[in-house]
Amino acid sequence: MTTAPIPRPFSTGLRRIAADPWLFGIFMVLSLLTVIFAILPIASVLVQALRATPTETGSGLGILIERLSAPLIWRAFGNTLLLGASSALISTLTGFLLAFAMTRTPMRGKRTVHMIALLPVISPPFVIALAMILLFGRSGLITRELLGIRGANVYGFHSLVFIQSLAFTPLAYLNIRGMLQSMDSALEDAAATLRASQWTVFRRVTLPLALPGIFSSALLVFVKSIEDFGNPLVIGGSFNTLAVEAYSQLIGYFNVPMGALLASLLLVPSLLAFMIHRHWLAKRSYVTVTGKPTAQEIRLTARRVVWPLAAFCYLYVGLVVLLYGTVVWVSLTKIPGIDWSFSTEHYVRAFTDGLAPLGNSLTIALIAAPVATLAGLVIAYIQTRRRFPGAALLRLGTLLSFAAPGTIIGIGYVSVFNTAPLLLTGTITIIIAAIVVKTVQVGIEAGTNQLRQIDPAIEEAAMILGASNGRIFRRVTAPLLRPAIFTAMAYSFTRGLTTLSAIIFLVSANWTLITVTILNQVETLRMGLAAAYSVILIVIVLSALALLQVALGRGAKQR
Amino acid sequence: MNKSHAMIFSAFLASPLAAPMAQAQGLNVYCPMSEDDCSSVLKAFEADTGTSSAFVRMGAGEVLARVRAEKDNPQAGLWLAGTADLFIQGASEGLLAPHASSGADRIKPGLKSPDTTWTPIAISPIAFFYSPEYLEELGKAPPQSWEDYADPAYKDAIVLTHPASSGTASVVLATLVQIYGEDKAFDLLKKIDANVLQYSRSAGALAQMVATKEVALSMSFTHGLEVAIERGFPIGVSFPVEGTGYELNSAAVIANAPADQTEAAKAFLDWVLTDAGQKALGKTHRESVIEGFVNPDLKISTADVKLIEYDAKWAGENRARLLQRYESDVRNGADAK
Repeated sequence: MTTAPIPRPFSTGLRRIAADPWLFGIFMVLSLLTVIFAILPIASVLVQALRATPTETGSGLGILIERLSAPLIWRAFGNTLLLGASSALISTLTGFLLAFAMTRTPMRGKRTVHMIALLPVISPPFVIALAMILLFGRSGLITRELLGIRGANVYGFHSLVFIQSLAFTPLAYLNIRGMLQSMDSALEDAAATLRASQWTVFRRVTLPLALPGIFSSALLVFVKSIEDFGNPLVIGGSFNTLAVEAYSQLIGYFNVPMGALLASLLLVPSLLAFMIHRHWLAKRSYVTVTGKPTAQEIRLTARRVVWPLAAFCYLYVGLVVLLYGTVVWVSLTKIPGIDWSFSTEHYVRAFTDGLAPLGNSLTIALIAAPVATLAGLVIAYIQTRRRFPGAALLRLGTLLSFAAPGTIIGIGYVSVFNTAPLLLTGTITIIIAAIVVKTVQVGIEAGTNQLRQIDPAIEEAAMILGASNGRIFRRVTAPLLRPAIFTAMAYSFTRGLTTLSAIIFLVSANWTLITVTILNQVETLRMGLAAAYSVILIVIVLSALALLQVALGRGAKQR
Repeated sequence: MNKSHAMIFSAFLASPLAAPMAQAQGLNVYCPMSEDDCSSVLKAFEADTGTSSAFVRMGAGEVLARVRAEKDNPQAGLWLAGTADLFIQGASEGLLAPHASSGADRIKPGLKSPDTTWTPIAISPIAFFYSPEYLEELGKAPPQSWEDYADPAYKDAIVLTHPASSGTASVVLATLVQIYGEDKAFDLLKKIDANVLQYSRSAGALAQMVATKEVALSMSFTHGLEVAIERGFPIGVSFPVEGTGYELNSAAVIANAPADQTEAAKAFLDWVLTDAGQKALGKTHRESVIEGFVNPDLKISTADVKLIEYDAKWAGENRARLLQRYESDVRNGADAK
C-alpha cells in the first residue's frame, strides 16, 4: 500500500522496528493475541476436516476427494456465492445512496433518516422473521388482507436476500458515510470551479475517491452474509448455504470432519475476495486530507438529483419503520397473530424477571466494543503506516476470524481454552474475546479506509515538530479517525449485544445473555415477550449510538 | 483521546477481564428443555434435596457438541433431558459416566435403558397438529395417518423441523423407518417433502405458524403442544392410527466432571425417578416413565394413542446413517424449490 506521495526513507524492516520500538512492541502483542485467539481455535477445528470418521477407510487425501465429490457441497457452495454477491451488491448500493444523500444533499430530515437507517444493525433473527411472516406471509396483513394474495411464499432466496441486505446496509452506510464525510472537498470544489458538471464531478472525482469505502463495504457484507446462518435457517426455505450445512453437520449429524470441511470451504471465497481487494487498492492513492484548510459544504442542490435520492432514502426508512414498527406492535399485543388485543403484559414481565440477562449482555458489549475498536484502529494504523515484517500473519488472523462462522469460533474456543495453560472457559474473558475477534475486522476496514485518505505528511509534520509517536496518534491521527471510531464502536457494541452462534458454546450457567433469552421466549411461544425484549434492545442500542455520536461530536469541538 | 478517556479505557480493560465469572454454587447443568422447564425441575430438585444448581439452555445437539469439545475438562456435571439417541451417541464416544439410578427398576419394561450410561426420565409422544380453520378451507378432516401428510392437497401447507437440527424430526424419521421399513419410509418422506413449505430450526415457530394459518399441518412432541394450548393457540391435535414414536427423554452424568459435580449429578438421577422427581418433570408436560405413574397435568389425552415399540438404541445407532440417506434421497432428490 503505497499511499504516501513522499517515498519513505527507510526500506528495511529492521530499521522500521528501530524507529518505532514501542509500536513494534504493541504490534508483537497484537500478533501474539491474534495467533492465540483467532488462528489457533480456527485451526483446531479445521485440522479435523482431514480426519477420518469411523466408517471411512483410507488416508487424508482420498477421503478429502471423496467428501468433496458430494453434490450437496457444490450446490451449497453455489448458493452461498449467489447469496453473498446479491446481499453485497444491494447493501452496498443502498448504503452508498444513503450516505451520499446524507453528506452531499440538503435533504430534509437527515437526523431521523440517520437514526432509522442504523436500526437494522439490530436484527434479532426470529423476531424480524416473525414480522416478515406477519406482514408478507400467507395470512400476512399486507399480502392477504391488503393485496388479497393467497399462498404468498415468504420463504426462500428472495426473502433471505431481503433480510440480509437490510441487516447489512447499516454497515455499508456507516463505512461509506465515514469516507464521504472526511473526504477533503477541495478536489470536488476544484472540479466544480473548472466548470465540470455535477455529474462529471460525481463520476470523475467523488465516486473514484469513495471506491475504497465502497469496495470494503461490499467485502464486509459479502463475508458476513455468507457466514450468517441464523437468517438462512429461519427464512431460507430449502435454500441451503455452506454455513447452514456446516452447522447441521457439526451439531446434527455429529460429523465433525464434514462440518469442518464445509467451514473451510466457506473461508475460501472470503479470503479470495480480500486478496483481490488488497491487490487492487495497493496500486492507487486516495489521499485527500492534506491538512490544508477547507470548507465542507453541501453542493448538490439540483432538484432532479436531490428528489429521487431523498425519495429513495424515505422509501428505505419507510420499509425499516414498517418492519420494526411491526415488532413494536407485536410486543404490545396479547398473542401475536392470534389475539391482537392491546396489552403491556410483555413489558411488565420483561422488566420484572428479565433484567439480569440484559445487564450481562450490556456489560459484555460495553467492554468488548472499546477493546475491538481500539485494537482495530491500531491494527489499521500499523498496516497502513508501519509495515512491520510479519504483518501478514496479523492480517490473515483477523481476516480468518471475521470470515469463520460463529459455530466454528465457538467450538474452537471451547477446545483450545478448556485446558491449562489457556484455561478460560467459564470466564467472561472468553466471551469478550470471541466478540472482539468476531468484530475487530470492521474497525480495521473503517480505519484503513480513513487512513488512506489522510496524507502521512500531516503526521510527519507533527513528528518534525517534536511530537512523540504516541502523541501523534492521539492528537493527530485519532481525531481524524473519528468516523471510523463511530463505525467500529457501533458495530462491535451491537454485535456484542446480539451475537448468538459463537457464544452459545461459551456461556456458562450464571451468565445468561439476552439473545439466548429471546430465543428461549420464541421456543416457549412467547413471541410477544421476545418482541418486547427486542424493542428494549433496540432502544438501548439507539441510545448508546446517540450518546456515542454526541461524545465524538464534542471531542471535535474541543480540539 | 485525553487522559480521563485513557483512564476509563484502562479501567474497562483491567477490572473484569482478570476475574473469572462468578462460579455457580452447586451443580452445573446443560439442559435442552425450555428455560421454564429447566428452571422448574431444578428448583424442585433443590427444594427436595437442598442441592442448588445453575443451568445453560441450548439445543440438544449443541449440548452434545459442547460436552464433546469440553471432554478434557468438563464444565458441567449433568446433562438433563434430550432424546435418548443423543445420549447413546454420547456414550459411544465415552462422554458419559455410568450411574445406576436407584429408581431404575421402577421404569416401564419397554423404556429401560440397556446400560447405566444414561437414564430415561420421561417420554413425549409425537403428535400431529393442525389449524382447524385452514383444514376447513381445504375441506379436509384432521390427519389420521402418516400418509395423510403426503396428500398433494397440502402442497406448501406443511411445516416441519429438519431431522439434523431437531429431536422431533429425528424421532419422526426413526419412527417411520420402524413402522414402514426403510425403503417405504423414504418413499413416503419424499412425498411429504414435496408438501413442506419450510424446515424450521425452531420447534416453537411451528406452533406459531400453524396457529396463524401460515400452514395447515405440522408435527410436534405433545409437551410442546400442551404449552401452545395453554397459551391459547387455536390448534387441533390428532395421532396416527399406525402408531406413533416418542422421545425417550434421558439424563446422564458427564464423564470426568469434578467430583462434587459428579456426586450432585448422581443424586439428581436418583431423585428424578422418585415420585417427587416425576411430579416435577410432569410440570414440563412430559409423561412419566414409571410404571403406573399418571401425570395429572396433561390436557392432551394419550390413553388411546397407539405407541410403537420405539427402539431408541437402534435409532441412536442408525441415526447418522439415516440422516445421510435423508439428506441424499429426500432433500437432494427433490428439485430445489
